[in-house]
Amino acid sequence: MDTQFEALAAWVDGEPVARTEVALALETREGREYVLDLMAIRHMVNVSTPSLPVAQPQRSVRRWPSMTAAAAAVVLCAAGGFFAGRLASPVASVDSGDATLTPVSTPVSISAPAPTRVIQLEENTSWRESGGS
Amino acid sequence: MFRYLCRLVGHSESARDLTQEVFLRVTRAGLPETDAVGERAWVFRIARNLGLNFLRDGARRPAMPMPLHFEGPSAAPTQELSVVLTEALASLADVDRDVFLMREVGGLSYAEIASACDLTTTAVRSRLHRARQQLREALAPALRQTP
Repeated sequence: MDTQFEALAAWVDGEPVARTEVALALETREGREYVLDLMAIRHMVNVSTPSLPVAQPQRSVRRWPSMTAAAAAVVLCAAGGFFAGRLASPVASVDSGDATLTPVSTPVSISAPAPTRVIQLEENTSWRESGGS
Repeated sequence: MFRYLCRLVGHSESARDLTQEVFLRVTRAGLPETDAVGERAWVFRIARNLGLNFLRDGARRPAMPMPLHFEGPSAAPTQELSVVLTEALASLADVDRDVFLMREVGGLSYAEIASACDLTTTAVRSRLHRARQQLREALAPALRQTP
């Protein structure tokens, strides 16, 4: 029986083996179960043995869309910022027909906010004294 | 090569280092003038020697290799399988285990295994059969659950 099983194992492993030997072994139930078990053991070993992660060259190709989107977002933000700044700028709007820019000459008047508390400073007062002591 | 060393030493990180060492030695020494069978056998002989030296050289390492660690969504059943298989492999004789791993993990032919382990092809054939029979008995419950 061992010789028949060895023949079956060699057949499963792709080694040269006599056809009649394999055929004879496969006629028995034990022989067929042996082959099934060999395949199951092989599967178990393959599944439970890790492999080295292989570098995938197509990964750089996959990164192109995200990199392009990021670049487009940067360009959009820069352009949006430029136009927003231009609209909010105190510089007078430029006539599109005029080639020269004329800055606004009138100063911007900014009024001070109303005081919420008024402190009066009195003369001959020792400001270094601490109150209550 | 890496997978063979993984199973031989039982540690992914050590196997990674040993794989690198194997290819360093191959690069330094150059492939021997022989056919493809001889070349593969020679590389695996280096790997086997490095792996066995690694296992021999430290008491800090466990006598039985640790089950390989897996991560990810399907890690749990694979981890269980790895533990069962590691124990079953540890119960084999050293040479039988080497022969089995070279065949199943390394994918070597009987002639290549014979050359790497200094055996005859007939001895490889019978050792493989013996290893598989022992694994069948040790893994019987797990084999019955295999779809």
